[in-house]
Amino acid sequence: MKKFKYFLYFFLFLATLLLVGLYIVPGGKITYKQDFSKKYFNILGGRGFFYKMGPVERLIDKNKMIGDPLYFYVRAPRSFSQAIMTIKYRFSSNDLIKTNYTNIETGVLLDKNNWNYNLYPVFNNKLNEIFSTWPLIKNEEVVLAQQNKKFSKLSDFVEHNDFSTSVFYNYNLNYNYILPNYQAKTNETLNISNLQGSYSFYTYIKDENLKVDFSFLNKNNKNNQALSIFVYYQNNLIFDESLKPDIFSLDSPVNFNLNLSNLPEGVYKVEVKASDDFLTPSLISHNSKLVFINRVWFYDLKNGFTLWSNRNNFKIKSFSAQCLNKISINEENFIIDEIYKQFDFSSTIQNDLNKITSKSCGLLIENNALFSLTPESFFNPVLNKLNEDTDLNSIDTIVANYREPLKEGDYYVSEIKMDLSSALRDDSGYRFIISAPFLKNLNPEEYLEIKEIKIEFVGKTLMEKIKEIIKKNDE
Amino acid sequence: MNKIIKYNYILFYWLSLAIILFFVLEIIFPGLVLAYFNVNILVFLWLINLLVFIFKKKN
Repeated sequence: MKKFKYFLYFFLFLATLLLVGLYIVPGGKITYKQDFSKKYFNILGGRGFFYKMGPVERLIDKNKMIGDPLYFYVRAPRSFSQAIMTIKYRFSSNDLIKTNYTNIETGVLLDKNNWNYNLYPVFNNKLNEIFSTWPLIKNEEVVLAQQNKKFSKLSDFVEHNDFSTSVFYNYNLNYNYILPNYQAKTNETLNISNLQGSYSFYTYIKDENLKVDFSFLNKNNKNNQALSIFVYYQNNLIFDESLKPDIFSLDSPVNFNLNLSNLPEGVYKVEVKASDDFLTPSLISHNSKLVFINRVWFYDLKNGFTLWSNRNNFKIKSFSAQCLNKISINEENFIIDEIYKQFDFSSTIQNDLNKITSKSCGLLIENNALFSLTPESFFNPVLNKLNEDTDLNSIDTIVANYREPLKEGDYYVSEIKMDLSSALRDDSGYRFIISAPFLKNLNPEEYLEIKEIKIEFVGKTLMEKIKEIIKKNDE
Repeated sequence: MNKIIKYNYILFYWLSLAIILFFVLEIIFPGLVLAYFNVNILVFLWLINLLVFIFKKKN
Protein backbone atom coordinates (compact mmCIF):
# COMPACT_ATOMS: atom_id res chain seq x y z
CA MET A 1 0.00 0.00 0.00
CA LYS A 2 2.76 2.42 1.05
CA LYS A 3 4.86 1.49 -1.98
CA PHE A 4 1.95 2.37 -4.25
CA LYS A 5 1.51 5.69 -2.44
CA TYR A 6 5.21 6.56 -2.70
CA PHE A 7 5.23 5.54 -6.35
CA LEU A 8 2.32 7.90 -7.16
CA TYR A 9 3.89 10.86 -5.33
CA PHE A 10 7.30 10.20 -6.86
CA PHE A 11 5.64 10.09 -10.30
CA LEU A 12 3.95 13.43 -9.64
CA PHE A 13 7.26 14.92 -8.48
CA LEU A 14 9.00 13.67 -11.65
CA ALA A 15 6.17 14.99 -13.87
CA THR A 16 6.41 18.43 -12.21
CA LEU A 17 10.19 18.46 -12.64
CA LEU A 18 9.86 17.45 -16.28
CA LEU A 19 7.22 20.10 -16.99
CA VAL A 20 9.29 22.86 -15.35
CA GLY A 21 12.30 21.66 -17.36
CA LEU A 22 10.27 21.83 -20.57
CA TYR A 23 9.26 25.39 -19.68
CA ILE A 24 12.71 26.67 -18.79
CA VAL A 25 14.45 24.68 -21.57
CA PRO A 26 17.79 24.47 -19.69
CA GLY A 27 19.64 23.06 -22.70
CA GLY A 28 18.59 26.02 -24.86
CA LYS A 29 17.00 23.80 -27.53
CA ILE A 30 13.48 22.48 -27.88
CA THR A 31 11.52 21.05 -30.80
CA TYR A 32 7.78 21.32 -31.37
CA LYS A 33 6.12 19.34 -34.10
CA GLN A 34 2.62 19.10 -35.44
CA ASP A 35 1.16 16.77 -38.03
CA PHE A 36 -1.71 18.78 -39.51
CA SER A 37 -2.99 15.84 -41.56
CA LYS A 38 -3.99 13.89 -38.41
CA LYS A 39 -7.74 13.98 -38.12
CA TYR A 40 -8.20 12.13 -34.81
CA PHE A 41 -8.15 13.72 -31.39
CA ASN A 42 -5.55 12.58 -28.88
CA ILE A 43 -7.54 12.32 -25.66
CA LEU A 44 -4.51 12.38 -23.34
CA GLY A 45 -2.53 15.02 -25.19
CA GLY A 46 -2.69 18.72 -24.42
CA ARG A 47 -3.61 21.51 -26.78
CA GLY A 48 -0.12 21.52 -28.28
CA PHE A 49 2.06 24.40 -29.34
CA PHE A 50 0.68 25.27 -32.77
CA TYR A 51 -2.62 27.10 -32.79
CA LYS A 52 -4.88 29.71 -34.42
CA MET A 53 -3.98 28.60 -37.95
CA GLY A 54 -6.03 30.80 -40.21
CA PRO A 55 -7.97 32.79 -41.33
CA VAL A 56 -10.30 29.77 -41.60
CA GLU A 57 -11.79 30.92 -44.92
CA ARG A 58 -8.35 30.41 -46.48
CA LEU A 59 -8.21 26.77 -45.34
CA ILE A 60 -10.02 23.62 -46.33
CA ASP A 61 -9.74 20.34 -44.35
CA LYS A 62 -7.84 22.33 -41.70
CA ASN A 63 -4.50 22.06 -43.52
CA LYS A 64 -5.09 22.89 -47.19
CA MET A 65 -4.29 26.50 -47.92
CA ILE A 66 -6.41 28.06 -50.68
CA GLY A 67 -5.80 31.76 -49.92
CA ASP A 68 -2.83 33.91 -49.13
CA PRO A 69 -1.39 34.47 -46.56
CA LEU A 70 -1.86 32.05 -43.71
CA TYR A 71 -0.92 32.76 -40.10
CA PHE A 72 -0.31 30.57 -37.09
CA TYR A 73 1.06 30.95 -33.59
CA VAL A 74 3.60 28.81 -31.79
CA ARG A 75 3.56 28.96 -28.02
CA ALA A 76 7.08 29.55 -26.79
CA PRO A 77 7.70 29.41 -23.05
CA ARG A 78 10.71 31.75 -23.28
CA SER A 79 12.65 33.79 -25.81
CA PHE A 80 14.88 32.13 -28.36
CA SER A 81 17.42 33.51 -30.81
CA GLN A 82 16.82 31.18 -33.73
CA ALA A 83 14.14 28.91 -35.13
CA ILE A 84 14.80 26.10 -37.58
CA MET A 85 11.52 25.35 -39.30
CA THR A 86 11.04 22.15 -41.29
CA ILE A 87 7.88 22.24 -43.35
CA LYS A 88 6.41 19.32 -45.31
CA TYR A 89 3.94 20.29 -48.00
CA ARG A 90 2.55 19.42 -51.39
CA PHE A 91 0.62 21.12 -54.16
CA SER A 92 -2.86 20.15 -55.34
CA SER A 93 -1.37 19.34 -58.75
CA ASN A 94 1.92 19.69 -60.58
CA ASP A 95 0.23 22.02 -63.08
CA LEU A 96 0.05 24.61 -60.33
CA ILE A 97 3.85 24.79 -60.25
CA LYS A 98 4.24 24.59 -64.01
CA THR A 99 1.76 27.29 -64.98
CA ASN A 100 2.31 29.87 -62.22
CA TYR A 101 5.20 31.67 -60.68
CA THR A 102 5.18 29.69 -57.45
CA ASN A 103 6.95 31.40 -54.64
CA ILE A 104 6.33 30.36 -51.04
CA GLU A 105 7.81 32.24 -48.14
CA THR A 106 7.52 31.93 -44.40
CA GLY A 107 8.42 34.33 -41.67
CA VAL A 108 7.99 35.58 -38.17
CA LEU A 109 6.30 38.75 -36.91
CA LEU A 110 8.70 41.53 -35.93
CA ASP A 111 6.39 44.44 -35.25
CA LYS A 112 2.70 44.37 -34.40
CA ASN A 113 2.11 48.04 -35.29
CA ASN A 114 3.02 47.62 -38.94
CA TRP A 115 2.47 43.85 -39.14
CA ASN A 116 6.01 43.61 -40.36
CA TYR A 117 7.29 40.06 -41.01
CA ASN A 118 10.82 38.87 -41.67
CA LEU A 119 10.34 36.53 -44.63
CA TYR A 120 12.45 33.56 -45.69
CA PRO A 121 12.14 31.52 -48.90
CA VAL A 122 10.53 28.07 -48.81
CA PHE A 123 9.86 27.21 -52.45
CA ASN A 124 10.48 28.97 -55.75
CA ASN A 125 9.76 27.13 -59.00
CA LYS A 126 11.87 29.48 -61.16
CA LEU A 127 14.90 28.96 -58.94
CA ASN A 128 14.33 25.18 -58.80
CA GLU A 129 14.36 25.17 -62.61
CA ILE A 130 17.54 27.27 -62.76
CA PHE A 131 19.27 25.19 -60.09
CA SER A 132 18.71 22.06 -62.14
CA THR A 133 19.88 23.49 -65.48
CA TRP A 134 22.44 26.27 -64.92
CA PRO A 135 25.96 25.75 -63.52
CA LEU A 136 26.09 26.70 -59.85
CA ILE A 137 28.74 28.05 -57.49
CA LYS A 138 27.82 27.60 -53.84
CA ASN A 139 29.21 29.80 -51.10
CA GLU A 140 27.75 28.58 -47.80
CA GLU A 141 24.00 29.37 -48.14
CA VAL A 142 24.42 31.67 -51.16
CA VAL A 143 24.26 30.27 -54.69
CA LEU A 144 25.62 31.98 -57.80
CA ALA A 145 23.93 30.62 -60.93
CA GLN A 146 25.30 31.67 -64.33
CA GLN A 147 23.81 30.98 -67.73
CA ASN A 148 27.30 31.32 -69.26
CA LYS A 149 30.03 30.80 -66.73
CA LYS A 150 31.95 34.08 -66.33
CA PHE A 151 32.88 34.09 -62.65
CA SER A 152 34.57 31.35 -60.66
CA LYS A 153 33.78 32.88 -57.24
CA LEU A 154 30.92 34.88 -55.75
CA SER A 155 33.38 37.59 -54.66
CA ASP A 156 34.53 38.09 -58.30
CA PHE A 157 30.92 38.68 -59.31
CA VAL A 158 30.30 41.14 -56.45
CA GLU A 159 33.44 43.13 -57.31
CA HIS A 160 32.70 43.53 -61.04
CA ASN A 161 29.91 46.02 -60.10
CA ASP A 162 27.66 45.72 -63.19
CA PHE A 163 24.40 44.09 -62.18
CA SER A 164 22.18 45.15 -65.12
CA THR A 165 21.67 41.56 -66.32
CA SER A 166 21.69 40.02 -62.85
CA VAL A 167 18.82 39.09 -60.60
CA PHE A 168 18.88 38.67 -56.82
CA TYR A 169 16.72 36.55 -54.58
CA ASN A 170 16.73 36.85 -50.79
CA TYR A 171 20.20 38.38 -50.99
CA ASN A 172 21.15 41.90 -49.94
CA LEU A 173 24.19 43.11 -51.78
CA ASN A 174 25.98 46.01 -50.14
CA TYR A 175 26.98 48.06 -53.11
CA ASN A 176 27.39 51.76 -53.69
CA TYR A 177 24.92 52.96 -56.32
CA ILE A 178 26.18 56.02 -58.17
CA LEU A 179 23.80 58.13 -60.24
CA PRO A 180 25.75 59.33 -63.30
CA ASN A 181 25.81 63.10 -64.01
CA TYR A 182 23.90 63.92 -60.81
CA GLN A 183 24.12 67.47 -59.59
CA ALA A 184 22.50 68.77 -56.45
CA LYS A 185 19.77 71.39 -56.94
CA THR A 186 20.01 73.41 -53.77
CA ASN A 187 17.22 75.89 -54.53
CA GLU A 188 14.52 73.39 -55.43
CA THR A 189 12.34 71.45 -53.04
CA LEU A 190 9.99 68.51 -53.46
CA ASN A 191 6.71 69.06 -51.64
CA ILE A 192 4.67 66.00 -50.79
CA SER A 193 1.48 66.27 -48.78
CA ASN A 194 -1.02 64.13 -46.90
CA LEU A 195 0.66 60.79 -46.33
CA GLN A 196 -0.76 58.31 -43.85
CA GLY A 197 0.91 55.68 -41.65
CA SER A 198 4.36 54.25 -42.24
CA TYR A 199 6.40 54.85 -45.35
CA SER A 200 9.98 54.67 -46.52
CA PHE A 201 11.84 56.28 -49.38
CA TYR A 202 15.22 56.43 -51.08
CA THR A 203 16.93 59.73 -51.64
CA TYR A 204 20.22 60.52 -53.34
CA ILE A 205 22.78 63.03 -52.18
CA LYS A 206 26.08 64.35 -53.49
CA ASP A 207 27.93 67.26 -51.86
CA GLU A 208 24.76 68.31 -50.02
CA ASN A 209 22.97 67.67 -46.76
CA LEU A 210 20.30 65.03 -46.41
CA LYS A 211 17.53 67.47 -45.61
CA VAL A 212 13.85 66.63 -45.18
CA ASP A 213 11.29 68.71 -43.25
CA PHE A 214 8.49 66.61 -41.84
CA SER A 215 5.26 67.67 -40.25
CA PHE A 216 3.42 64.94 -38.31
CA LEU A 217 -0.08 64.78 -36.89
CA ASN A 218 -1.65 62.26 -34.52
CA LYS A 219 -5.33 61.88 -35.35
CA ASN A 220 -6.16 59.62 -32.43
CA ASN A 221 -5.60 60.90 -28.89
CA LYS A 222 -5.76 57.32 -27.57
CA ASN A 223 -2.77 56.36 -29.72
CA ASN A 224 0.10 55.85 -27.28
CA GLN A 225 2.70 54.65 -29.73
CA ALA A 226 5.81 56.54 -30.70
CA LEU A 227 6.71 57.59 -34.23
CA SER A 228 10.23 56.64 -35.29
CA ILE A 229 12.48 57.89 -38.06
CA PHE A 230 15.43 55.85 -39.28
CA VAL A 231 18.08 56.65 -41.88
CA TYR A 232 20.17 53.88 -43.47
CA TYR A 233 23.21 54.03 -45.70
CA GLN A 234 24.21 50.75 -47.37
CA ASN A 235 21.97 48.81 -44.95
CA ASN A 236 23.64 50.41 -41.91
CA LEU A 237 21.60 52.55 -39.54
CA ILE A 238 23.17 56.03 -39.40
CA PHE A 239 20.41 57.98 -37.66
CA ASP A 240 17.35 57.26 -35.56
CA GLU A 241 14.92 59.42 -33.67
CA SER A 242 11.75 58.55 -31.80
CA LEU A 243 8.95 61.07 -31.28
CA LYS A 244 7.08 60.11 -28.13
CA PRO A 245 3.24 60.18 -28.21
CA ASP A 246 3.01 62.80 -25.41
CA ILE A 247 4.43 65.54 -27.67
CA PHE A 248 1.50 65.14 -30.05
CA SER A 249 -1.77 66.93 -29.41
CA LEU A 250 -4.79 66.70 -31.68
CA ASP A 251 -4.92 69.17 -34.59
CA SER A 252 -1.49 70.65 -33.98
CA PRO A 253 1.24 69.21 -36.19
CA VAL A 254 4.70 68.44 -34.81
CA ASN A 255 7.55 69.54 -37.05
CA PHE A 256 10.72 67.54 -37.39
CA ASN A 257 13.64 68.69 -39.51
CA LEU A 258 16.00 65.97 -40.61
CA ASN A 259 19.31 67.51 -41.54
CA LEU A 260 22.38 65.28 -41.83
CA SER A 261 25.65 66.73 -43.09
CA ASN A 262 29.06 65.43 -44.23
CA LEU A 263 27.64 62.33 -45.83
CA PRO A 264 29.31 60.52 -48.72
CA GLU A 265 27.66 60.44 -52.14
CA GLY A 266 25.10 57.68 -52.51
CA VAL A 267 21.63 56.38 -51.81
CA TYR A 268 20.06 56.83 -48.38
CA LYS A 269 16.96 55.08 -47.15
CA VAL A 270 14.68 57.06 -44.85
CA GLU A 271 12.06 55.09 -42.95
CA VAL A 272 9.15 56.59 -41.02
CA LYS A 273 7.68 53.92 -38.75
CA ALA A 274 4.31 54.92 -37.39
CA SER A 275 0.90 53.47 -36.71
CA ASP A 276 -1.94 54.24 -39.14
CA ASP A 277 -3.15 56.98 -36.76
CA PHE A 278 -0.15 59.14 -37.67
CA LEU A 279 -0.43 61.45 -40.65
CA THR A 280 2.22 63.42 -42.49
CA PRO A 281 0.43 66.57 -43.72
CA SER A 282 3.65 67.86 -45.24
CA LEU A 283 7.00 66.43 -46.32
CA ILE A 284 9.47 68.81 -47.92
CA SER A 285 12.60 67.28 -49.37
CA HIS A 286 15.53 69.56 -50.16
CA ASN A 287 17.11 66.74 -52.17
CA SER A 288 15.90 66.45 -55.74
CA LYS A 289 15.67 62.66 -55.96
CA LEU A 290 13.06 60.86 -53.88
CA VAL A 291 11.29 57.55 -54.52
CA PHE A 292 8.86 55.85 -52.17
CA ILE A 293 9.43 52.16 -51.57
CA ASN A 294 6.59 49.66 -52.14
CA ARG A 295 3.68 51.80 -50.93
CA VAL A 296 2.15 55.24 -50.86
CA TRP A 297 -0.95 56.03 -48.82
CA PHE A 298 -2.64 59.39 -49.40
CA TYR A 299 -5.46 60.90 -47.34
CA ASP A 300 -7.66 64.04 -47.62
CA LEU A 301 -6.33 65.19 -50.99
CA LYS A 302 -8.13 68.13 -52.58
CA ASN A 303 -7.14 67.67 -56.24
CA GLY A 304 -6.15 64.01 -56.49
CA PHE A 305 -2.61 62.88 -57.23
CA THR A 306 -0.14 61.85 -59.92
CA LEU A 307 2.52 59.22 -59.30
CA TRP A 308 5.26 57.68 -61.42
CA SER A 309 6.37 54.11 -60.97
CA ASN A 310 8.65 51.49 -62.52
CA ARG A 311 5.77 48.95 -62.45
CA ASN A 312 2.42 48.94 -64.24
CA ASN A 313 0.40 46.77 -61.85
CA PHE A 314 -0.70 47.71 -58.34
CA LYS A 315 -2.78 46.66 -55.37
CA ILE A 316 -5.08 49.57 -54.57
CA LYS A 317 -7.41 50.09 -51.62
CA SER A 318 -9.74 52.85 -50.51
CA PHE A 319 -10.59 53.38 -46.84
CA SER A 320 -13.28 56.02 -47.34
CA ALA A 321 -16.49 55.99 -49.40
CA GLN A 322 -15.83 59.63 -50.39
CA CYS A 323 -12.54 58.60 -51.99
CA LEU A 324 -14.03 55.93 -54.28
CA ASN A 325 -13.07 57.06 -57.74
CA LYS A 326 -11.42 55.95 -60.92
CA ILE A 327 -7.67 55.59 -61.30
CA SER A 328 -5.73 55.62 -64.52
CA ILE A 329 -2.52 53.70 -65.15
CA ASN A 330 -0.83 54.72 -68.41
CA GLU A 331 -4.14 56.33 -69.48
CA GLU A 332 -6.07 53.06 -68.91
CA ASN A 333 -8.94 53.60 -66.48
CA PHE A 334 -9.89 51.36 -63.56
CA ILE A 335 -12.75 51.85 -61.12
CA ILE A 336 -12.45 51.59 -57.33
CA ASP A 337 -16.04 51.09 -56.23
CA GLU A 338 -15.75 49.36 -52.86
CA ILE A 339 -14.10 50.41 -49.65
CA TYR A 340 -11.65 48.13 -47.81
CA LYS A 341 -11.44 45.90 -50.90
CA GLN A 342 -8.01 45.36 -52.40
CA PHE A 343 -8.15 45.84 -56.17
CA ASP A 344 -5.45 44.36 -58.41
CA PHE A 345 -5.07 46.63 -61.42
CA SER A 346 -2.65 46.05 -64.23
CA SER A 347 -2.11 48.19 -67.30
CA THR A 348 -1.51 46.47 -70.63
CA ILE A 349 1.16 49.07 -71.40
CA GLN A 350 4.55 48.73 -69.75
CA ASN A 351 6.78 51.79 -69.89
CA ASP A 352 10.07 52.45 -68.15
CA LEU A 353 8.13 54.96 -66.09
CA ASN A 354 4.40 54.43 -65.69
CA LYS A 355 2.00 57.25 -64.90
CA ILE A 356 -0.72 56.78 -62.27
CA THR A 357 -3.32 59.51 -61.85
CA SER A 358 -6.54 59.80 -59.90
CA LYS A 359 -8.91 62.48 -58.66
CA SER A 360 -9.52 60.37 -55.54
CA CYS A 361 -9.11 62.06 -52.16
CA GLY A 362 -7.00 59.20 -50.81
CA LEU A 363 -5.86 55.69 -51.71
CA LEU A 364 -3.36 53.12 -50.57
CA ILE A 365 -1.23 52.01 -53.53
CA GLU A 366 1.09 49.06 -53.09
CA ASN A 367 3.41 46.85 -55.08
CA ASN A 368 6.97 45.68 -55.11
CA ALA A 369 7.80 48.96 -56.83
CA LEU A 370 9.16 52.48 -56.51
CA PHE A 371 6.98 55.60 -56.69
CA SER A 372 7.87 59.22 -57.30
CA LEU A 373 5.77 62.36 -57.57
CA THR A 374 7.53 63.67 -60.64
CA PRO A 375 9.42 61.93 -63.45
CA GLU A 376 12.50 64.10 -62.65
CA SER A 377 12.67 62.91 -59.04
CA PHE A 378 12.52 59.24 -60.00
CA PHE A 379 15.60 57.02 -59.83
CA ASN A 380 15.97 53.29 -59.32
CA PRO A 381 18.79 52.21 -57.02
CA VAL A 382 17.26 48.79 -56.39
CA LEU A 383 18.92 45.71 -57.78
CA ASN A 384 16.69 43.49 -59.94
CA LYS A 385 14.79 41.04 -57.77
CA LEU A 386 13.49 37.70 -58.97
CA ASN A 387 9.74 37.97 -59.44
CA GLU A 388 6.97 36.74 -61.73
CA ASP A 389 7.98 39.22 -64.46
CA THR A 390 11.60 38.06 -64.58
CA ASP A 391 12.44 36.78 -68.04
CA LEU A 392 15.09 34.09 -67.60
CA ASN A 393 16.29 34.62 -71.20
CA SER A 394 17.24 38.23 -70.56
CA ILE A 395 19.42 37.59 -67.52
CA ASP A 396 22.73 35.82 -67.21
CA THR A 397 23.35 35.67 -63.46
CA ILE A 398 21.27 34.93 -60.40
CA VAL A 399 22.44 35.26 -56.82
CA ALA A 400 20.14 33.56 -54.36
CA ASN A 401 20.21 32.78 -50.69
CA TYR A 402 18.00 29.74 -51.16
CA ARG A 403 18.04 26.02 -50.48
CA GLU A 404 16.17 23.75 -52.84
CA PRO A 405 13.46 21.70 -51.12
CA LEU A 406 13.88 17.94 -50.83
CA LYS A 407 11.34 15.62 -52.40
CA GLU A 408 9.73 12.85 -50.31
CA GLY A 409 7.17 11.09 -52.49
CA ASP A 410 4.50 13.63 -53.37
CA TYR A 411 5.71 15.98 -50.67
CA TYR A 412 8.38 18.66 -50.58
CA VAL A 413 10.42 19.25 -47.43
CA SER A 414 12.05 22.63 -46.83
CA GLU A 415 14.25 23.64 -43.94
CA ILE A 416 14.35 27.33 -43.06
CA LYS A 417 16.60 29.01 -40.52
CA MET A 418 15.00 32.10 -39.00
CA ASP A 419 16.51 34.79 -36.86
CA LEU A 420 14.32 35.40 -33.81
CA SER A 421 16.50 37.99 -32.08
CA SER A 422 14.22 40.84 -33.21
CA ALA A 423 11.02 38.79 -33.44
CA LEU A 424 8.02 39.72 -31.33
CA ARG A 425 7.10 37.23 -28.58
CA ASP A 426 4.04 38.03 -26.51
CA ASP A 427 1.63 35.98 -24.37
CA SER A 428 0.50 34.13 -27.49
CA GLY A 429 4.06 33.15 -28.43
CA TYR A 430 5.60 33.79 -31.84
CA ARG A 431 3.35 34.59 -34.80
CA PHE A 432 4.37 33.01 -38.10
CA ILE A 433 3.19 33.61 -41.66
CA ILE A 434 3.10 31.38 -44.72
CA SER A 435 2.90 33.44 -47.86
CA ALA A 436 1.87 31.82 -51.15
CA PRO A 437 0.74 34.68 -53.45
CA PHE A 438 -0.13 32.30 -56.30
CA LEU A 439 -3.17 31.17 -54.25
CA LYS A 440 -5.22 34.27 -54.85
CA ASN A 441 -8.54 32.91 -56.13
CA LEU A 442 -9.75 30.95 -53.06
CA ASN A 443 -10.31 28.06 -55.44
CA PRO A 444 -10.70 24.73 -53.55
CA GLU A 445 -9.19 22.91 -56.55
CA GLU A 446 -5.89 24.78 -56.15
CA TYR A 447 -4.30 24.42 -52.77
CA LEU A 448 -1.10 24.00 -50.82
CA GLU A 449 -1.40 21.16 -48.34
CA ILE A 450 0.67 21.64 -45.21
CA LYS A 451 1.26 18.19 -43.81
CA GLU A 452 3.69 18.84 -41.03
CA ILE A 453 5.59 21.67 -39.39
CA LYS A 454 8.50 21.11 -37.06
CA ILE A 455 10.17 24.02 -35.30
CA GLU A 456 13.39 23.73 -33.38
CA PHE A 457 13.92 26.74 -31.15
CA VAL A 458 17.50 27.54 -30.23
CA GLY A 459 18.49 30.01 -27.53
CA LYS A 460 20.66 30.55 -24.48
CA THR A 461 21.21 27.63 -22.13
CA LEU A 462 20.40 27.97 -18.43
CA MET A 463 24.12 28.14 -17.59
CA GLU A 464 24.70 30.91 -20.15
CA LYS A 465 21.75 32.85 -18.71
CA ILE A 466 23.04 32.48 -15.12
CA LYS A 467 26.53 33.59 -16.21
CA GLU A 468 24.98 36.59 -17.99
CA ILE A 469 23.03 37.62 -14.85
CA ILE A 470 26.13 37.25 -12.64
CA LYS A 471 28.17 39.32 -15.13
CA LYS A 472 25.50 42.03 -15.18
CA ASN A 473 25.40 42.17 -11.37
CA ASP A 474 29.21 42.42 -11.18
CA GLU A 475 29.17 45.41 -13.52
CA MET B 1 -13.59 -4.00 0.30
CA ASN B 2 -11.57 -2.23 2.93
CA LYS B 3 -8.51 -2.40 0.68
CA ILE B 4 -10.38 -0.86 -2.26
CA ILE B 5 -11.47 2.06 -0.06
CA LYS B 6 -7.89 2.57 1.08
CA TYR B 7 -6.60 2.60 -2.52
CA ASN B 8 -9.44 4.93 -3.36
CA TYR B 9 -8.34 7.27 -0.58
CA ILE B 10 -4.77 7.30 -1.85
CA LEU B 11 -5.87 7.95 -5.44
CA PHE B 12 -8.32 10.63 -4.36
CA TYR B 13 -5.67 12.58 -2.42
CA TRP B 14 -3.11 12.06 -5.17
CA LEU B 15 -5.48 13.27 -7.88
CA SER B 16 -6.52 16.27 -5.73
CA LEU B 17 -2.87 17.16 -5.18
CA ALA B 18 -2.10 16.72 -8.90
CA ILE B 19 -4.98 19.04 -9.88
CA ILE B 20 -3.88 21.72 -7.36
CA LEU B 21 -0.24 21.34 -8.40
CA PHE B 22 -1.06 21.65 -12.11
CA PHE B 23 -3.29 24.65 -11.38
CA VAL B 24 -0.43 26.37 -9.51
CA LEU B 25 2.04 25.43 -12.27
CA GLU B 26 -0.33 26.86 -14.89
CA ILE B 27 -0.47 30.16 -12.95
CA ILE B 28 3.31 30.37 -12.51
CA PHE B 29 4.19 29.11 -16.01
CA PRO B 30 1.19 30.00 -18.26
CA GLY B 31 0.35 27.43 -20.92
CA LEU B 32 2.83 24.85 -19.63
CA VAL B 33 0.52 22.08 -18.36
CA LEU B 34 -2.31 22.59 -20.84
CA ALA B 35 0.08 22.37 -23.80
CA TYR B 36 1.32 18.91 -22.83
CA PHE B 37 -1.53 17.34 -20.93
CA ASN B 38 -5.31 17.17 -21.14
CA VAL B 39 -6.23 18.12 -17.55
CA ASN B 40 -9.89 17.26 -18.23
CA ILE B 41 -8.91 13.59 -17.94
CA LEU B 42 -7.47 14.23 -14.50
CA VAL B 43 -10.60 16.06 -13.35
CA PHE B 44 -12.78 13.31 -14.82
CA LEU B 45 -10.82 10.61 -12.96
CA TRP B 46 -11.02 12.68 -9.78
CA LEU B 47 -14.83 12.92 -10.12
CA ILE B 48 -15.17 9.17 -10.77
CA ASN B 49 -13.00 8.58 -7.75
CA LEU B 50 -15.12 10.90 -5.67
CA LEU B 51 -18.32 9.17 -6.77
CA VAL B 52 -16.90 5.72 -5.99
CA PHE B 53 -15.70 7.05 -2.67
CA ILE B 54 -19.14 8.47 -1.72
CA PHE B 55 -20.96 5.38 -2.97
CA LYS B 56 -18.72 2.99 -1.02
CA LYS B 57 -18.96 5.11 2.12
CA LYS B 58 -22.78 5.08 1.93
CA ASN B 59 -22.77 1.31 1.63
